[in-house]
Amino acid sequence: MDIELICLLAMLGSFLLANLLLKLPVSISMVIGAVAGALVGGEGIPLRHLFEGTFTYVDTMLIISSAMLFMTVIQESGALEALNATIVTKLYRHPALMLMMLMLVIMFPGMITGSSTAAVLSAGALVAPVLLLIGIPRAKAGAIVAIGSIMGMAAPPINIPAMLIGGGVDMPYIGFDGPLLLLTLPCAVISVLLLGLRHCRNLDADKLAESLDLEVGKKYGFRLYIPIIVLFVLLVLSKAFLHFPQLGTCLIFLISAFIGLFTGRKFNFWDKALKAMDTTIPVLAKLMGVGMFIQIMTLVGARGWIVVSCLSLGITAVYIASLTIMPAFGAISSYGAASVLGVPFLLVLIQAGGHNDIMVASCLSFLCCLGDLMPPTALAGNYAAQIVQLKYKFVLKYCVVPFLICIAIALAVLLNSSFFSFLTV
Amino acid sequence: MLMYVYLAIVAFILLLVVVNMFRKRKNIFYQIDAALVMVTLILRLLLVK
Amino acid sequence: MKRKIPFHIMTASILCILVIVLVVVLTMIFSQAREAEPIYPGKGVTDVRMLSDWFPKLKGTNGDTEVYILDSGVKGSSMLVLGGTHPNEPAGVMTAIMLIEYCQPESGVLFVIPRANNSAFTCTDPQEAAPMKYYIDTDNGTRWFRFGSRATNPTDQWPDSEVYVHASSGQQLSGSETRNLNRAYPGREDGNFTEKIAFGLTELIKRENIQITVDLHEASPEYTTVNAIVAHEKALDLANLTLWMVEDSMKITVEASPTNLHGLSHRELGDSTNTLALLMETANASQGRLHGRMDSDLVVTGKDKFYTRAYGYGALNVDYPADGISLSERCARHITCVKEFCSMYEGEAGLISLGNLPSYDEIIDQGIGHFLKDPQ
Repeated sequence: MDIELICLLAMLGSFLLANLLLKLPVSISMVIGAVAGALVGGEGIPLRHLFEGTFTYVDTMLIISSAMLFMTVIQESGALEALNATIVTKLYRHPALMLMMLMLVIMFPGMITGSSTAAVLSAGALVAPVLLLIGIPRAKAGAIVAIGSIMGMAAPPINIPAMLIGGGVDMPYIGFDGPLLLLTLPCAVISVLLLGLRHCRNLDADKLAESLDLEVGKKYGFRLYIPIIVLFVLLVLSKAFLHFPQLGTCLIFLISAFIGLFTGRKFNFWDKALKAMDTTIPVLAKLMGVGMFIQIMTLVGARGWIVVSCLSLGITAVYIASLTIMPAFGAISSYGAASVLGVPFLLVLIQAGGHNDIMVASCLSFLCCLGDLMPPTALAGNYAAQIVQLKYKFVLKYCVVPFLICIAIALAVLLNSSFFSFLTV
Repeated sequence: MLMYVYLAIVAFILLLVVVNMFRKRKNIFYQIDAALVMVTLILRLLLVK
Repeated sequence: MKRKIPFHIMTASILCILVIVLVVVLTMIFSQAREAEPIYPGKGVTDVRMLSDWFPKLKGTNGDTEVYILDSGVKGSSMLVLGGTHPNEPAGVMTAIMLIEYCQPESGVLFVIPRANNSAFTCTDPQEAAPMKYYIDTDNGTRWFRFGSRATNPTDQWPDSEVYVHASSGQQLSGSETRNLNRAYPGREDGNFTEKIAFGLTELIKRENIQITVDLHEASPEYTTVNAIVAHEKALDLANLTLWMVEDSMKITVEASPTNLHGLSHRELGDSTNTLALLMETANASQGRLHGRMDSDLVVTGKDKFYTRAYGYGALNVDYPADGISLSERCARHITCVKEFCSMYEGEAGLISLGNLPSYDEIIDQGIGHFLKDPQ
């Protein structure tokens, strides 16, 4: 048995032991797994490596924190309630259209930022109360938010796993819009209709009006929406116009949040910001744990063992591994799946011939994104569950069918990549 | 210039983490989580890494 | 009356002290990366200048870097050799250092920059678990060399935009490429930190009227362009002539610089200056995704059982023997081609000869360390 495999088993074993048996948080269990791997690999406790691994996620940490601050402002200012009221009263007669619109709203921040977490925390949190209002059960609402945020993360214009995979083979991020829309739009529409349509076919207008807060919208009017509009405009401008100052998603969230302090109900920002960070700290710590885990996997050779083992099984197995191991790797990190597995898999599939490179890279990136549903990290899933105030396992149950549909669509596109190559123009 | 703005954001988030660490009662795991985050944020704030 | 400190305040305080201790220790560890390895200029070096001499805005920054000039004193053409564009590709750096310490040109002028992206030498890439140093045995003991990052240190340029847009072409790449020197050419006078370094290098080439520029790289063995010379269309003839001369001793291919891939030295330096722009790639296991344990040995010996297995599965683009592809062999490829570029070039300004450089076989047999200068 390879020593690298022994290290990997030690890492996974101590992680599972700490997380499932000792009931330690995922973050601390990941650190324990990383330290165990380093010890078995004869590296002692390599402080430098442990903390160097966390730096991959500095920018992600800032985006998550600023998105949480933005969401807090939107909730406290009353904009969220007003927006819910508007969507429901305008669209309740056309439930299918309403659900698709709501799905698009969930996806939007993910499309612009390339982060499912940003999508869940911003639009997901806006839409979840609406979904509950129109009668969708909590667990299914959580599943819709989780799937929607992942479709947003995978959808164009920004798909970070696709960029990571492309960067590994010097493929410019051009021509991905069509393939990514082909993958994400059908999956998003099917998922939301499958999970939600049954519950909102016959909506009662009077009953809805009772549970909606129409007052705050009337009191502050249009200005309530200014922070959301500013967010939307800044995100679009910085992506659409290359010469527009590149502020970064984090700063755009904070600017919009700052504006939100003056456009609605007054509240104590410091208290609310502390509360927002309170729920964010465990997620950030989880990222730190993931960073350490991957760095030690690389250091002791466990990463290489995983990739070579996948490659050893031949082209059919690479297809199977793309559809299974790559989303499963998301349990550690979906970005990690893209750079660790995505690049070698793409090279093998290109070498096998008969494929369109961009279509294959798009499919692989889409499969990586699905990893954000994988427990225990399940960035998108956990946050979605938190928003609907349930444990993730209840939400996960309803994610299974849409997840399998996504895998099936990805496989169909992957096998027919040459046929769809016209989309890459 | 943008770098200094982002360093200020790091400092603000670090402050929120530290205050939360002292505020949250009787949860050592939560405090360890906060400590992990703090190390990375401080190293970036000091432009060490 | 004695007031009892609440338990959670006590634990938080202890953890804060621990955090401070960790930060101090980690600061000491990470700061070591800022120390550069000593280079001992050989007899051929006639002047050592800084890149800021050609682009003063770099002065005093981490982007400023040493330019070694080896002027033969005999009229001839000039050549620039860039090592360390990506400091995680050590064959480029070591080849440049060997030229500085060993080479004595007989005609023309040789410019050598061993740390093209100096900032990238001061850190390593997160999650790549790279060693901070690697060690090479020489005839006078072991010497250490700095292993760095593919990209500029984020402490010099941060934050990255989500998408990197190459300024002159509008090409979009992953945001992490914002700090990649070999995506920043021809650079911008008022651009970001990395673009300024690229601009400085372009200025040097223009002002010194460099006839040939060779950017020395390495690639992971699973990458498509490896063991190759990538040449701008103006330099294709030179690359093909060189290929003809060296293909008996090594397997190597010539690839034309793609016209739709922007920011790379072989494309942009060829387009925006008069230089013949060439780029070389060798197979480096330590920068791939398939390697086993990551340490100095892997960097230097290139021995890796996983790469050998992957070769057996047909997953690589190069032969990967069980003995690995050593740093000496990778440097031998670079040195041999650089020497042949010079001997094959017939420019208007005259010839350029790098003198008595060791042959491909000599470097492999005796090791790269044998050709480094004795510090004494």
